[in-house]
Amino acid sequence: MRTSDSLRALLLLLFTWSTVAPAQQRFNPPPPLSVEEAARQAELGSRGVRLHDPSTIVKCKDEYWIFYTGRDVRSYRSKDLVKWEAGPVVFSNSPPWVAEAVPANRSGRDFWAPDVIHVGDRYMLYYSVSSFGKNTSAIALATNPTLDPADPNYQWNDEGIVIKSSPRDDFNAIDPALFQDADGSLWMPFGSFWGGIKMIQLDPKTGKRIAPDSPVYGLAHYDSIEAPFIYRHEGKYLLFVNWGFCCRGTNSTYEIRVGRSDKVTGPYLDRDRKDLLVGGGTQVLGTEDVFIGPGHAGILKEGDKYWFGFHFYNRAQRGSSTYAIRPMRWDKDGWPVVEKALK
Amino acid sequence: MANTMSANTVAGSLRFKISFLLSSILSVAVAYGSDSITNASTGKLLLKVELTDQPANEFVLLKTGDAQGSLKLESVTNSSAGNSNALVLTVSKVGDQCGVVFVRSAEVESGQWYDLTFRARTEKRENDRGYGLTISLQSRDGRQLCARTTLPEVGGEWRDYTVALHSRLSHPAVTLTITMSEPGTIWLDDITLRQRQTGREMRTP
Repeated sequence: MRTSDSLRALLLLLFTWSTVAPAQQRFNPPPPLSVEEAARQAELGSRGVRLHDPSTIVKCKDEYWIFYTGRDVRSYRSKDLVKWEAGPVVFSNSPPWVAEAVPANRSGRDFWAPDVIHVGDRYMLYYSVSSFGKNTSAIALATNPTLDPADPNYQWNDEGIVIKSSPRDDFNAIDPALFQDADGSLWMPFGSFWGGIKMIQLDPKTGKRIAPDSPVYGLAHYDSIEAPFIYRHEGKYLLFVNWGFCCRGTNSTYEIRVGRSDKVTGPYLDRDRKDLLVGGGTQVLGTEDVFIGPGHAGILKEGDKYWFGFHFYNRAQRGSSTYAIRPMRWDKDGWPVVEKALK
Repeated sequence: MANTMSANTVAGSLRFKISFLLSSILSVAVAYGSDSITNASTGKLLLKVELTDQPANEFVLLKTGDAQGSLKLESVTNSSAGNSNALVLTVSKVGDQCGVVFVRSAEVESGQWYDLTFRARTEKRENDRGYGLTISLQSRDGRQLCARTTLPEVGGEWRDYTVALHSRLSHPAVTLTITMSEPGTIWLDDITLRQRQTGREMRTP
């Protein structure tokens, strides 16, 4: 993670320009940062790349990968967690079921908030198909034996819908996150608004729901809640969620909250022992400095170090959503603490 | 019969308890409306509340904490056929909660589904976004929450919305509340709550 300030700033500028370029055809690009400001933000964790709803970081061979919201599911790759380069998209065509399952999806290729996990001999990528403000949605699965596009085995296979929702459901089947427990069981918390954060158990072999009528667990609710993520630490399960509203640039109100449980299925309680199902949630990260509305938490453990990935709306760039990684630690009571700066 | 939503003027076990007692957390701003009841035994329309200009204590402003807002009836076009009034909720300060509570209570049962349908519109906002609305079935004092769901984007021209509510508790007398997540004004009409299995419904206004 150590790069000289000047090199880091130069890289940030290059990456910002490279990711802005395609968007210039449709949007007024955000103003570039000065070298000094780019370097300052880098010290605060910004990686300078524009993205929204990053997945958890996953490693393949010697590279780190994240996937994020966008046409065909987009990706970034990095060898050092500092320099991130655009990777290939997952799809070249819309999966055939999309138009029927979610007809309101604008192009059939706008996919939201993917998450990825390595289970067995393949990578499982879960992605959302929806349309704004509606819960006619689906979470689907695509698999690949490798994330390395140079590998001859590289091939994304769409496995279809894992769970879907309609106005007759009290949840919205988007924002999947994957969690594999120590016993190998696989869980998928998900959800956005409506009845809050839900979770189903998956079959690690198929990546699909363990049974069609398996329980849908309620984990958390708040007036504005989405983007769950579960992490296990010292035998406790931690549920991270987003409160607030995304996607409003500098007016976004996202913040990251957490609760903890002895069981993966909950109940998740905050520091004050208030259940996340009734509005509990201890703040982990909120708006600070130019980092407005942090969201979509993910944790990577490398050796004895923990890294906390998220996106934020950059106040210095008219609220352009940007990726950041910060070091994190655990306090004496086992609660996560996201450090303010990389040093 | 369990899980019923009917009126106390209807014989048998189908009951709506029309109560004008407000909990300590509620403060009354305005109340309007009237109702008519049709056949309860067929499972069709049980209760239909038509908006009129005659006050009848059908709904009240809900505000807790330092919330500020208002409720009124307004004559509208392009709303529901045969109904020229809509309920206008204005929230100027969200506080802990600010919205509307429909004072008729209904019995709900744990594990059962209830479908709320309504029409809504808002004025165009600078950010071109709708408002978050939270819909709850809860005890009159707010202490027992049976079901709650939140729509992230309600707004724009008149549009129909459908919301599924799954009751996690049984309760003999819950009230329906609709609250806004941020300051603004929303027009509501054709609010209908049905129990999914039986089709019995409470309709207001």
